[in-house]
Parts: sequence; C-alpha cells; structure tokens
Amino acid sequence: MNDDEDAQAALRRRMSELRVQFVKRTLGELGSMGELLERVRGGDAPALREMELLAHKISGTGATFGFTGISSHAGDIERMVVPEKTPGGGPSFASEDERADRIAVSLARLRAEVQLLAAEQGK
Amino acid sequence: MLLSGAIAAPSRKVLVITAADADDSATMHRPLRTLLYVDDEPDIREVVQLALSLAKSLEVHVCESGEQALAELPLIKPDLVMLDVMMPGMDGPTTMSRMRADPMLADIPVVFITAKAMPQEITRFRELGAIGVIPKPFDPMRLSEQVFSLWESAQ
Repeated sequence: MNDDEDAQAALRRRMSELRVQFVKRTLGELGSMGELLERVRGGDAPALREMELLAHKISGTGATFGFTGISSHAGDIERMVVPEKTPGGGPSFASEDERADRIAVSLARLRAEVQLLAAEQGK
Repeated sequence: MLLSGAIAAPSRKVLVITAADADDSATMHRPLRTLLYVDDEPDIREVVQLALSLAKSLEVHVCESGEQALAELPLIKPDLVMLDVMMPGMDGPTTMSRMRADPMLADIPVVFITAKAMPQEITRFRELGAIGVIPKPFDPMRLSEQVFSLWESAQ
C-alpha cells in the first residue's frame, strides 16, 4: 500500500473504533436523557435546552457513524423538544404532558436501538 | 484577439497583456494551508482532523468551543475556519459574528458544518458571510475534497 492508502486505512480503522465507543457512550447518555425528561415534566425550562443539545449531538454523531436508526430516533426527540425550530413546522402537542409522553416513547425506541447495537458489538 | 509585445508610439509606449499572461494571473490565488475546526463533540473533532489530514498539505487545528476558538485564532491565524453550528454556550453563527467584529479575525473565511442543512438555513449562513456549508453526515473520505472545493470557489 502507498502512503495515501495507508492513511485511508488508518482512518477507516479509527472510525470503526469510534463507532464502538459511540454506542457505549450513548448508552450512558440515555440515562441523562431520562433524567432531563423528568426535569422537563417538572417544569424545568433549562432542561429543555440541555435535552435539545444532547438529542442533536446524538443524532448528528450517530448519522456520521452510519447509525441511521439512532440518528432518526434522536432527531425525533430533538424535533419534539424544539418543534418551533423544525422547518415547515414541527409536531404539535395538546399539552406539555403529551409532549413529555411522546418524547418518552421516542426515548424508549432510541434505547432499544442502542441496546441492540451494543449487544451486537459485544459478540 | 490579444497581441503580445510593446507598441512604440511617438509619445508613449503601450504594454499589451497576452491571453497567456491572463491565464497565469487567474491561477495565482492563495493556497489553503492551515485550518481550524471548531466542534464540541470530541469524536467528530477527531474524525474531521483525521479526514482532513488525508490532504497532506493541510495543517489542521481543533477547538472544542467558540470561546476557545476566539482565544486561539490570533495565535493559530488559520487560512480557513470550519464551525459546527450547534454548540453549547457560543454557537457557530455567534462565533462567526464575533470574528467579524474583530479586525484581526474579520477577513478569515468561514465554512459551517451542520446537521441543520435545510435550504433556508444554508441561505441564512451565506447571508451571515460563510463561504459554504458542509452538511452532516459527511463522508470522511471526501471531506478534504469538499473543503478544498469551497476554498477554491471563494478565491
């Protein structure tokens, strides 16, 4: 292999390592997401911004590493947290409780996706 | 059709630039040598740094926040800054606005990299003065090509 091929191979290897790390780290971050959701239910406004940032980060980084399911579920959470930022209008809710409930459903889907990937990586 | 050589008139000389000279002047633009990438996500910083390092001529620096970038820009003096849009604290657009307000940093070209790459967002970033937007997810194997393409277009 020449130098360029060596560099590309090194990048691919590192990407594979980072993908594994991302899944493990995201499992931990889901716990934080759950805590933020409870704070949101309690009327903690700053928790919404923290949840937005976390969901955005998981969605974007997940997509970069090719985890389309993780990216999609985290993106759903982001859009429900800040529907006003969604081009064309995001989801609407009859109440804050409804929003929290629907976020909880997406969070459960995201957790299932991440746990499945973690189990596959552990094999 | 342009002619080369000097035409001597009784009272003045005229220098004519040839088509060949014009071609040479068109290629004399500044090369991209140093880049600063700003992103709060450490994995993405590492991927971008590795991906851009495939272009061996490029020196890549990274910062984890807009605040850190503003502090280090006068020291690094990059040719180009790439900014993640959504960061805690100072976001990408605010970082760019602060650069534009500083005479020492105002002329450094900026590229945004973002998962929020809808047409209206891209328009907004260009109106802020960015030379381009790279959407996430990006292909690490093609990232340097995209960056150099934006750089060349802006020259």
